[in-house]
Amino acid sequence: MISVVSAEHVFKAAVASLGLNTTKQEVDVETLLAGAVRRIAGVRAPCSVRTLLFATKACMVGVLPEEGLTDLIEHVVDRLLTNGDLLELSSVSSLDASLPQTALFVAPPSFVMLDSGEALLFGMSEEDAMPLPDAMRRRVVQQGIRRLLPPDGSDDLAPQLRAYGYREQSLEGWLRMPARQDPFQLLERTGRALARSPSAGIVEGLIIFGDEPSQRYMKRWCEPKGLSGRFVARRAQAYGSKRWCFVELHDGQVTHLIDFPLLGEAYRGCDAAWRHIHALDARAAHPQTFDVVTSTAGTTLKLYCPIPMWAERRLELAGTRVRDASCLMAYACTAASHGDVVNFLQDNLWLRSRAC
Amino acid sequence: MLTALMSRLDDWEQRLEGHFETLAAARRLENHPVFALEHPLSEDDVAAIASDLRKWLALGEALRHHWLLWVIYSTELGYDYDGLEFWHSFERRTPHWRSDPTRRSQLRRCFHRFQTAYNGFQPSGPWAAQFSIIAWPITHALLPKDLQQQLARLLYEERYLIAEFAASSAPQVGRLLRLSAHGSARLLNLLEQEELVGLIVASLLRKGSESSQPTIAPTALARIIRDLESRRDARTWLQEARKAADAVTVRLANLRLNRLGVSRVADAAASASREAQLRSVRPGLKVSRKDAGSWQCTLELPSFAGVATLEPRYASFLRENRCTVPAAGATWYPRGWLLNGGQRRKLVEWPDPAKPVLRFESWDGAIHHILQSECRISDGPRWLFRIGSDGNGIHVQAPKVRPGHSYLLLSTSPVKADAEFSEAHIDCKGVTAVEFAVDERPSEEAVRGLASLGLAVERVLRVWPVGLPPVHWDGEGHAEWLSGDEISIAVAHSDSCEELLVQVAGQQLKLSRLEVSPTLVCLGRLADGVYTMTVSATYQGGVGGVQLRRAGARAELDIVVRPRRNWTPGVSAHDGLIVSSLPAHPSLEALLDGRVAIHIAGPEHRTVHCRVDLRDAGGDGVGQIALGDLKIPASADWLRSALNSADVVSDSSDLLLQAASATLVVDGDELGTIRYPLVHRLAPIRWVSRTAKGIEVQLLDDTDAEGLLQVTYSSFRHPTKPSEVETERGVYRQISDGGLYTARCGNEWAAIVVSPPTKIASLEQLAAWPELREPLRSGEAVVELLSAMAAWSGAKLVGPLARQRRAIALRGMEDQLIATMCWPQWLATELMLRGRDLAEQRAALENQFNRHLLSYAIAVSSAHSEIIAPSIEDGRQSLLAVSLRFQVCGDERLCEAAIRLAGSPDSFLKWSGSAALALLDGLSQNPVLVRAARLAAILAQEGVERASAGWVQ
Repeated sequence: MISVVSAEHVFKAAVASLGLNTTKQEVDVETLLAGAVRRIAGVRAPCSVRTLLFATKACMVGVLPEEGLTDLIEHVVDRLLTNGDLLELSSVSSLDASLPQTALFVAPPSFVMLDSGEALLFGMSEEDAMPLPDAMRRRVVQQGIRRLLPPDGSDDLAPQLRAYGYREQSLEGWLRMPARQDPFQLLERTGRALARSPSAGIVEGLIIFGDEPSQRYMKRWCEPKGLSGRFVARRAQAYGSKRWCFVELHDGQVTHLIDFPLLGEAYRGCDAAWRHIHALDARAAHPQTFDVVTSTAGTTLKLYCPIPMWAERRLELAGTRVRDASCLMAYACTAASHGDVVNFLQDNLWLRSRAC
Repeated sequence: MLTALMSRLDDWEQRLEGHFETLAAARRLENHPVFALEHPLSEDDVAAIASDLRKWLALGEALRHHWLLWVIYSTELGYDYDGLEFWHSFERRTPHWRSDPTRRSQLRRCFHRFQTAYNGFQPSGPWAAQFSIIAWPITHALLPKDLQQQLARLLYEERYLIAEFAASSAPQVGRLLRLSAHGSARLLNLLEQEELVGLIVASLLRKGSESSQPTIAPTALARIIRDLESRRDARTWLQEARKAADAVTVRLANLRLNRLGVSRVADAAASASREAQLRSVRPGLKVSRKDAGSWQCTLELPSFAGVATLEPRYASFLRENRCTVPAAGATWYPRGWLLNGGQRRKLVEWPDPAKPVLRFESWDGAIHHILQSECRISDGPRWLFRIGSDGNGIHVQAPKVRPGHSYLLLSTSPVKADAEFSEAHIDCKGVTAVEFAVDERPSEEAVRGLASLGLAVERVLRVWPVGLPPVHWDGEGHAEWLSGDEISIAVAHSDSCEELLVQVAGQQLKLSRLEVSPTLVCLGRLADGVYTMTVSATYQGGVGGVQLRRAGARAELDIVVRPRRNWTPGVSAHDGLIVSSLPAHPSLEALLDGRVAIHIAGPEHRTVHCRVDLRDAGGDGVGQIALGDLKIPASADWLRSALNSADVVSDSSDLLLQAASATLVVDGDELGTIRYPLVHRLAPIRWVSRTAKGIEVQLLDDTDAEGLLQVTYSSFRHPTKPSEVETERGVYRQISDGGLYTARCGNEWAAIVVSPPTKIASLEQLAAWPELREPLRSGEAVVELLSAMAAWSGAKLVGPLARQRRAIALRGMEDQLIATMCWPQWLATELMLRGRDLAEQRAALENQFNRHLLSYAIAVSSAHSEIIAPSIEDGRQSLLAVSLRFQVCGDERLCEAAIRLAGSPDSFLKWSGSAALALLDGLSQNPVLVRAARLAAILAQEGVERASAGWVQ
């Protein structure tokens, strides 16, 4: 029956049609947006991030408040990338000649078995974000962007999911952790690649991540004017977001430049860049810090600078991402897991913790 | 005791005759066939009969006395068939069977009698023709245990398609499954029998439906389902397939119910659903910016999976025919390409709106009609694209532009560029492009300029999908949703809007006193079909300072609602990993011989892991052949390198000989895993091997011929001198003498090269080089030599270094062929030059031609890559052209014979057939021509192997 409805009704109808099960009574906005982005990505990918943002936003105008909507969708897309539902791939040799240099692809339906016995589902098929039999589909719990299939006590989940065509990824494979290195080793290796790269000349629209210590990530981006040394940088490129790179400057002039990710690396450019930012800060003896806030409810880790996707995945496993406007990202951890996470951040990204 | 035995068997025979007579009578009306597995016997009964039959056989009695019992007995063995060999197991479980060599034929006669007496099912298809005896008991077992899991999986994967056609005729259902099949050779063999498979599928899916007429006896069906469901995976797959079938049954029942009442409504619903499926294959157009002021256009082809569900023959046609997109180049895409999700292709020239954008290799009237009516771009002469904030432009069907947006207009006739319209370059022949932006408050002049191009400025009314995203939305007037979606629409209107009228699917909603914009409207869950939603707005007067010429505005939205398309795991569509093969359906043998080009596309420099998964007849894994890791993009030659870099085939020979199915697996980690089924058929006569302390081989014979088996052995040192050896079927024997073993039985033959493990200190000890340099004296002797080469090169390989040792034997034989056809002096020169620099070889071999033919030799050398070409026709024409010019040869076929003899002698006889002697005679009288072909082959180096792989026999 055709009728005028409220935004709330449209919200609920979309949740129902997308088959979003959740343990909560109320489905949150992030869960709905994750479902919507998956549906659009299934049919539109490979495409640019902006295509996905544009198409998702177009459907949500009138249902969700417009203010901050683009940021929210961008956040969800980023989280879907972290989770493994979407893949950001560069230089894809493909039959589709219209693909941009870097494009978003959807991962095939996949799962990873967690220590809890649950299966974390990610990826999607073209027109079905979760191609599973109905009975199993109903058991999947959606929380934000995550979809977890709990064991039902009688069956081993992995063989069942494999039988339905899902691809199993090992926990190590999903985490995609790089080999542990100290910051000196990492920077020395990249420095060698940088030295081999040809002289760069004039680079359009270059901004660099400066070496002045600051807790405010955005504030450190600046013009290269008068600076010398090696820096993480971003450079303009035609019709796309700025490209991540590593540069050597002499009095503000670029002498060498190498793009991230380095040839053959399976990480995103931003992941490589953020790791190098932390390495540069650690080598300069002013590592980035994060806060460990302990309360009766548990422990929250507050980070003020972006971390690579593999580190986010590790944090996702140990805790739950929570909203906290006072920092860039925050994770609520259990008392049992927070020690491991703190060590992880110190060992792999050379961050320094502060107890609050 | 004998009398008692005979009496018992007679009683069983009589009882079964009565049973099958009744069954046949009941089936006669609908002409449904009868199967031997539909007997009424319990497990104990079958065991008792089997015991008595064995005793009866020990007395040397013929089968005909209890022919029906023998049909049941062999069918029961067929039900337990493991897919690898039949007669060996049969004979082991039936002592004294071989005491009479005619028993296989007797058994066939028993089945013929069953077929005649009770309208018994007659096996059909290539497999049944090749295995004309064992096809009977295996087919009459309906669904042998080894196939149950495989068929259940196939039913699950194709459940939505099969569900739509479950009520179609059995052969139609069977044909659909055959065309979608991948799996073991056994499953493919079963699927060749389309009617049988259709009957089985119909029975499996209708379980629980009391109204249906059983086409398979309930006891036999229950037994199959019980065995099938004993494996959890298979049970779930079958349940899901049934659910899909039940959903369609309910839908059809509702339609029938409606038909009794309001027939027009029911017919309209069916026809609307069909229209939605057809509409969903309309191609889309997209433009994307290449660089400043330059655009490229992409054609988006939706999946044809929905069309495939409309008629079984549509599905068959789409799976059987390759297609091409003429406006995107000359590439032919593999069969079933349009069923693997949507596809995108860059347009190199603008498609003719009057013609379909797709063309199939064969013609079907109904498909042609669909293509002609749906699969065209919209009529021109102009196409409007709205540029989004992502820089891409989506084709907008309605000729409307909106203030504040940018557009690209393509036109077959140039549009005059001016201040409003800036010229843009489009990388596509046949159209020109202009870019323009519409101001928030367009001037009257701008509005007139747009109107002159047929474009209207829409300022007051906008309609768009809201909440649940549609699966397709062009940004202006066309959207597509899936069955069951609850559709919501937003309508934005100006503040002065007094009244809105929304109409869709025969319903309407009138709204007045509108306060907020946008207004959200829920359309509910529309049934599958194509709808046009109209929104009419009435205004007080002018809007935003612009005086309107009309009192209202109207917007339209085309809505398509269609079923969701099924997902097939492991199929490459638009994922980050794309694997393609040439030929599109390669065999395992061709793959391992390096005769298949596999392209792998994806993110450059990423590593993918490649392997071949081998499974036995029951679908269980028997092992893997690792082909190594490689970086994307992988060129067509990576496979050949992978095979050559390690002796993967010889090392895996035991596995290969056990395998009943194979899949090429390209594992890209997070990018996904692509599985390419490889065709692998078991021959009626074949060798299997096992490696324990040494190598043991066994000959399996499932041919119909009885007793006429000839096995020969040729050593590596004397590869052309076979000697007969005694071999018993089905018994492993240790092999200590390496070489070629060939078994021949009637028209069937099988060959295996065995290389027992030996300790060698140097390459020279690898194998003794055959001394075969003496020229042969007759055409018959050359045919024998070529026949030996064919046997060696087509043989399976077993044991370490088997490939290398075979290569040495083949090289020796090739030397003898060269000595014979090109003369010994030529061979001596070739031998002297082997391993030398190519330029040196070329000069020395050219000098082997007489002085007056030196120019001919130089011309051949220069044209060597055209002579040894992937197309034998091209090569033949090239050699003919050069040879005619120098008056060496004017016979086209002789030129081809020379190329084949020089480039691929092991396949010469297969190509030439009965003309071999005549052709060899012709060549022997023209050694210059053979030398010329040989010269070209030597200069082409590895290109010979690559090119000859494409020479059609």
